This record gives sequence, C-alpha cells and structure tokens, in this order.
Amino acid sequence: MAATTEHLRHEAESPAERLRTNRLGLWLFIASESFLFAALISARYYLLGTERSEHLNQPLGFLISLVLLTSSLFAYRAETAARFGDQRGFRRATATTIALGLLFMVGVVLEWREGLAFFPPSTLYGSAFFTLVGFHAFHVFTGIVALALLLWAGRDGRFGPENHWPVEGVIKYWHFVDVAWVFIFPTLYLVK
Amino acid sequence: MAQAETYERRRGAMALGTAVFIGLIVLDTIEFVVARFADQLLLWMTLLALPQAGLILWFYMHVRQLWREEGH
Repeated sequence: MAATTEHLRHEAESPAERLRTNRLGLWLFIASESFLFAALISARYYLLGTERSEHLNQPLGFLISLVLLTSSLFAYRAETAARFGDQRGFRRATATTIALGLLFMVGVVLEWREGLAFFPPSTLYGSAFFTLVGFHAFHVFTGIVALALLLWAGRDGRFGPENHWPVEGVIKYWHFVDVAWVFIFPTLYLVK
Repeated sequence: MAQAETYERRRGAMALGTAVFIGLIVLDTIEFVVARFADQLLLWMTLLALPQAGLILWFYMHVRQLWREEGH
C-alpha cells in the first residue's frame, strides 16, 4: 500500500519537480555535514587557540590541497561532459578525479605517519589534528567510492542531458569535500 | 546550427571551469605564502578561504540552482 502511494506520488511529480526536490535534499544534507565540520574546526580553536605544532609538514599539506583542487576541476569537467552527452569525456574525467582522490589519500597517510611520530592522538594538538583530518579523509574515501560506482554505472552510456542527476549529486558531494578542505587546510597547517 | 550552439556552450562551460580552477590555485598559493610571512594569520586565512569556498559553491556546485527555476 505504502509502495503504491509512493509510486503514484512519483508519477504525479514532473521530472523538473523531482530534480528540484533531489537538489534540495542534497543541499540539506550538505548543510548538515557543514555543521559537523564547523563544530570540529571550532573545537580546534577552542582547545588550542591558534597554536599549532612546529612539526607539521606544511609543503605536503599545500601539495595535497592542490591535488584536491585539481580533482574538483576534473569533477566539474565530468559533470559538464555528462550534461552534454560526451560519454568518453565523462568517463575520462571521472577516472582522473578518482585517481587524484586516491593521491590525496596517499598524502594524508604520509602526513599521518609523520604526525604519529611528533604529535600522537593522545596530545591535545594530535587529538584535534587526527579527528579533523580523519573525519575529512573518511568523506574523501566515501566520495571515491561514490565516484567509482558512478563510473561503473555509466559504463553503458546511461548518463546524458536527460539523465544527469546521479552525476550531479555525486559531483556536488565531491566539491563539498573540497570546500571543507579549503577551511581545514589553513585551520590545521597555516594558522598560528 | 543547434549542434554548433551546443558545442559553443560546452566550450564556454569548460573554459569557465578552468578559469575558476586558476583562481582557486592562485588563492591557495597566496594563502600558503602569506602564512609564512604575515601576522594576524587567522584573519588572513579567513579572508583567503572564504572566496575559495565561494568560487566552488557558485561555479562548481551551482548553488544558484536552489532559487532558479531552470534545470541547469
């Protein structure tokens, strides 16, 4: 019964209305995630002020920032390609985004290895650092999984001008991960 | 005719994406350099991070779709 009602509701909704509802839902999800990141960033300043470890590898942090920003460019290109029906361009740009996401994760692992030696999670700074970077890295990981599923689902060319919401949704999430890093990078690596 | 128009629109969208990317890289680099030399870093970092987030939200995430009617 409930399934039938749901089916009828979807039948009554036009594709434009459905797209609008989907977008609103995703933006609300992104807003709720933003509050989580904001709370963690606030906790860092509340606990430590602007103090930071002298052992942080700032060039590595900068490098992985550039990698993540570049991944956002390719994510944008993947979405644009799908919107214009360029299947090859979509697959290539999505695969490049995944590769850059993985490269970012390698950078995080390298930074964690250094961090564990100089400011372990038992210290105040280590606690803030590993929580914030770990929480963000988890989002990058889920973004990579979502992009990989998107690439797999789009292998038969199903995404195009008439059906690009799945691409748009995943890519928006990826960009959000980038926005979060834009604030995390200075918070952990630069401010003092 | 329509095909040429679509091609132009796509080229324009790709060029915009690249321009935004260059802006992001420049801001990120300035942020990194400023952090090495300036005081009052919290203020500087906030001033440099906000436009980066704004560029991504506006051009890459199309936040304006929330209040605009058209599909894309």
